[in-house]
Amino acid sequence: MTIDSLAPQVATFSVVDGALSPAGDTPHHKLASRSLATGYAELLPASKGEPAAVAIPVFKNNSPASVAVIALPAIEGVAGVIEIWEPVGPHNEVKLRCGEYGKLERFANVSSFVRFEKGMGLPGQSWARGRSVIHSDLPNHPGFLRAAGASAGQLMHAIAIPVVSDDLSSIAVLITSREQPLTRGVEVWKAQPDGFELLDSVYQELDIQDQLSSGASIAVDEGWLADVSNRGEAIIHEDKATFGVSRSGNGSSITRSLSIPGYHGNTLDHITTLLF
Amino acid sequence: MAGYVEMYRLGKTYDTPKGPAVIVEDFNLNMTKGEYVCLLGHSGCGKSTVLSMVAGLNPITEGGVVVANHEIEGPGPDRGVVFQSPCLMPWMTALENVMLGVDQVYPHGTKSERRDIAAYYLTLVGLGKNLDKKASALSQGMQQRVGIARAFALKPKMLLLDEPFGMLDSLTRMELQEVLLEILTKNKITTLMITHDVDEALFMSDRVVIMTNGPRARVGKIIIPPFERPRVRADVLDHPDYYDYRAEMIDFLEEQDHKKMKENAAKLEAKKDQEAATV
Amino acid sequence: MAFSPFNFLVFGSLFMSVAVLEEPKVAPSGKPAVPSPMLQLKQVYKGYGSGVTRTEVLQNINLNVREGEFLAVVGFSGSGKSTFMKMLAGLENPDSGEILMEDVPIRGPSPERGLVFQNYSLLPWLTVRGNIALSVNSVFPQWGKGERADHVEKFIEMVGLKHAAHRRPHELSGGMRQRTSLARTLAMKPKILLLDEPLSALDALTRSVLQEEILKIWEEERQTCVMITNDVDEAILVADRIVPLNPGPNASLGPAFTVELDRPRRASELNHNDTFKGLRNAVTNYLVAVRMKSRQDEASEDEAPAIALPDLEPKSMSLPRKAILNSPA
Repeated sequence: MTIDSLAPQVATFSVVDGALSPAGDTPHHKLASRSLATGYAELLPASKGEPAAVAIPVFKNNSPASVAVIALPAIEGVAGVIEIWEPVGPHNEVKLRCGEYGKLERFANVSSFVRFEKGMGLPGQSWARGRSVIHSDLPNHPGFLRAAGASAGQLMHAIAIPVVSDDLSSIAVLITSREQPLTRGVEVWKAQPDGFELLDSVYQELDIQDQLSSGASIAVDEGWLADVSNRGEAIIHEDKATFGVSRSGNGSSITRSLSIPGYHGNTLDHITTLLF
Repeated sequence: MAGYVEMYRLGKTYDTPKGPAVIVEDFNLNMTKGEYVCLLGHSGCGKSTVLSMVAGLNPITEGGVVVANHEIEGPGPDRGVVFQSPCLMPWMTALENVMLGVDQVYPHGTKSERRDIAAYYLTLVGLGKNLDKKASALSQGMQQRVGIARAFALKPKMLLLDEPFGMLDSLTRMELQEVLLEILTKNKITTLMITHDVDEALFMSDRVVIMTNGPRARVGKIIIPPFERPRVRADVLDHPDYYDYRAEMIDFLEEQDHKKMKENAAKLEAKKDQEAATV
Repeated sequence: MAFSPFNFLVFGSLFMSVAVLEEPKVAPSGKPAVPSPMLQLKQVYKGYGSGVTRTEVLQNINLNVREGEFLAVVGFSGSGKSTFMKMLAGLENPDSGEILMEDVPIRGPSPERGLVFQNYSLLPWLTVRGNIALSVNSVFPQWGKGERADHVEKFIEMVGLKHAAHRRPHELSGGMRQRTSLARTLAMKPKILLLDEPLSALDALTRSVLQEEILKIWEEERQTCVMITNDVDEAILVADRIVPLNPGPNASLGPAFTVELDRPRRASELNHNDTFKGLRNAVTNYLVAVRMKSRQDEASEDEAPAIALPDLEPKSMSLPRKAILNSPA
């Protein structure tokens, strides 16, 4: 099982006149439609060998601009975790709306009873920053509060991607397992007036030549980030020349990337890039 | 089939000025070799009396106890006993405390062999780095670990545990339960344990014997926890029937409570009637 | 106290990753304001000693205690539970970070925060009534004599000690002494009640009776309350939220479990409740797992040497007649 088998299981849809484009009838299309209708990140639970998937809507100027769909690989064992958290109650907390945990039942049980205040834990940090947040080396990460007590040995890295329109709608959390990486890498890029700066990144089976460290920057008109910024929606790139920009390995160990922009109102705040 | 440990028609009666007081009556229990049995019941139900008779610390009024084909007569190192409080010699180190018993039971071994025996079992209970700590410098939980090591170091044929974790806080108790189970998987010893903690009984034992309330306490109900060994607490708790077993045990104990309350109320009524009649 | 620049850097990066403090923002109109917490702990660190004997007890403690909630902190012995409580009471100061009571930093003990210890500290020469009156008189000197006396009686009654109000502490059972401590603290009308393992010195039966009574009193008054305990069942019975305190040294807080069980709660009824079972397993499994991880981390740091067990059997032929027992003779 390699990461490449996951590649067909990402998809993006544009939103044109309130409808998904391209149109279609696949399970992932239906999931994206649901996400578009609710404004939430939405989960398709695994069933009958079909892998679980999450749809993450992208809001620009408080209205939906596109939807990204990411599926877990359909394997036996601990494949990883998808969670969707939503705000609840008067105390600025998020609670679990739904999740796909595979065999990590105890992690699921703990997660179903805990809530995170704004600023606390991975979902709470993502909420407070209004931005995607990465936690690496989960068993020893001081901010990943559930780790120590919950199947931590099997979990590697996590990324929380907030869905923000005029306020927080939900947070999608992807957790990759030790035995089955979900991605080769995750990067969170901050949009600056003159370019993009890498805030955080984590890599799991990516050639060192293609890895970038925090603080790396890319010019505003270069590579895949410029494309995402210009088109203002979630985009899959399969062209090494595009996602290989500024990487000394020229992206040769990457087959494709999925980038999800995050807007505050009409302003691009950051771009989350998953590398496969 | 005869058991490895047999308690046959065990009874305990004390003579009092008001006549004989029957504490335990007709208590029968056979244990197979390596079996872990918990005696569960309310305080004062007579479970400690049973254990102390098996330990040989309390003369048996009726019936008898056989351990590994020998009828017991008084206490002996073939039965290791651990009480609620380990009662270590506070001025001695953990190692020296265990050596006290080891020196007596292995007089044919060399000094260094005896030291190794004590150190081995202390390491098993997680005190490998604290061999030379004074007992008085150990926490309550660590002291009880020494107590467990001391019992195992004598290689008894049977372990008798009288609420060994009763003084510990609930999280330390859980940890020591796991320590004890782990060492038992390496050193299978027939074990009789007394507890009033329903979760502890379910987690530890092959069989839970719930006693009726004293006086005249006897076996009231037997539960056989279905959990596989070696046991992991999370798996045991997540077993679909865990809370059913737990409820069954709690319900039985509560039933005993109600009975006792009714009896007490009836006694009180009778006494009042008597008083009324004499006035 | 000296931090090397390196240490400081490490601490700094931990701050970043553990909690993100909100930047002040203008609240969008039309939305209910988020109630300000009664008590806030922000990135609190505490240790004792210096140099080689320095022990870091608590690290990176972030917690908001909400007005009117019952919050239980469940922790292992030796994990810094009492240090935590002393800081809330104002008896100890954090080494870094801050503790705010209604947005004002805590500068020392105050009757606003009533603390009940595991070991009741009643004055032995005063009766139950005298002990409670002493506190009431010191906190409410402006009240009239009759008013204060009525107030004392009200709290004696609340904890069910009317029949024993004239007794001195040595004439009371452990449970009754703890009731007196509770009444004395409640009578000072603190804004927040701090219970530091109030029941752990009591036997199981007394403990369960007092649990239900504390709960009953709390359900009437709905006073903000933080309780430290080592008992998961006790925490679930009484609390709105349960926060685990991970094993020390360097103990930090785990995630906050929400107890969604209707009130009034009664222990005997919870046994059959599915939420109770799921939560009980989640909290217990969490605590067991953090403890195991902490023990593994300790063990991997410094492995005790393996010892081979000598091949010796006990000399059974010459059993000493004297018992070898783990008990005083």
